[in-house]
Amino acid sequence: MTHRPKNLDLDALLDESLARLKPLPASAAFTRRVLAARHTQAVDEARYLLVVMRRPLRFGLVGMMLSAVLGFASGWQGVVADTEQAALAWEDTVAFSAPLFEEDSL
Amino acid sequence: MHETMARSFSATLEGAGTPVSSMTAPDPRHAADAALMARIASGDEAAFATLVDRSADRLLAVAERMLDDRAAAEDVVQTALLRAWDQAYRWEPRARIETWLHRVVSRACIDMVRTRRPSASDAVLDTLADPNPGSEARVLAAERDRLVRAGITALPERQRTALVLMTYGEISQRDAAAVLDITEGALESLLVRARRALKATLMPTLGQDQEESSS
Repeated sequence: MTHRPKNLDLDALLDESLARLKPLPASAAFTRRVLAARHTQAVDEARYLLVVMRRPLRFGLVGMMLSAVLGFASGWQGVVADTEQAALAWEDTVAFSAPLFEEDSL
Repeated sequence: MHETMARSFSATLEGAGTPVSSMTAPDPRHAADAALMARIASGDEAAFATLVDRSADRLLAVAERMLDDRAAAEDVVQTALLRAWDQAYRWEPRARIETWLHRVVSRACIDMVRTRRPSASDAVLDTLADPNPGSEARVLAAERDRLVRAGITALPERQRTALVLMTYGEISQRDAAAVLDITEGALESLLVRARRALKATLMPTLGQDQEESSS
């Protein structure tokens, strides 16, 4: 059987251990780090925002490029159609004016 | 600082609310705190340095003992202090700054403990023998410290927070109860249970103590 010594007090032992386990105070380096971090925080947040926004930005850019290509293609089609119409109109003009010219010349 | 960790804190820190929302307790020191926070809100760097000097030691002590990891504790405390810098303009003088900071730090620590895996390096360090053991009493004391340290880590969250806040946070029982959002009676109950659990971890060393004292 183990009998407990008189001077042995679990509470005291625990308090001694807790006191020994008290962490070291903040170092000067840590304090400097916190103070410096205040300045870099805004930069960090901006960088974070950029990282978060990278994917939407990329999609947006691709979308804009696609839209530009489609717009160009559509515009080009319009130009081609207009040119064709102009050419037809010119042909009609020539076709209608030629007989008149011939009649006049006769 | 690890950015990912800083980001994971953000939700926790937001969860702590605006500086001091639910901690209602008039205190004459609140006026001094409000003045300090007003200076910080206006961008006074010296005022922020005062806050850091005043509270970093205690916050670090609490965080380190909660996490059993100095580097992680420094990250938590830095994030909490920077949050105070950012949120100073929203400060409502209804409780002490330290009470709010302790609340932010303890919540962040609990969140981190829940998510992180146990560190292998800690386990290895714990098993390493002391190269200079010295006297038998010193070896026993070191063994007790190791048991208590492991015991604190194994305590349930609220018991651990209560014990660490009261032992290392150097805040009043009333403030510690406010940090945990409980009554002072409930805090005492948590402390009693935490100490009982830690004393139980020390029981195995009693026999060795007895042998030492009888020899």
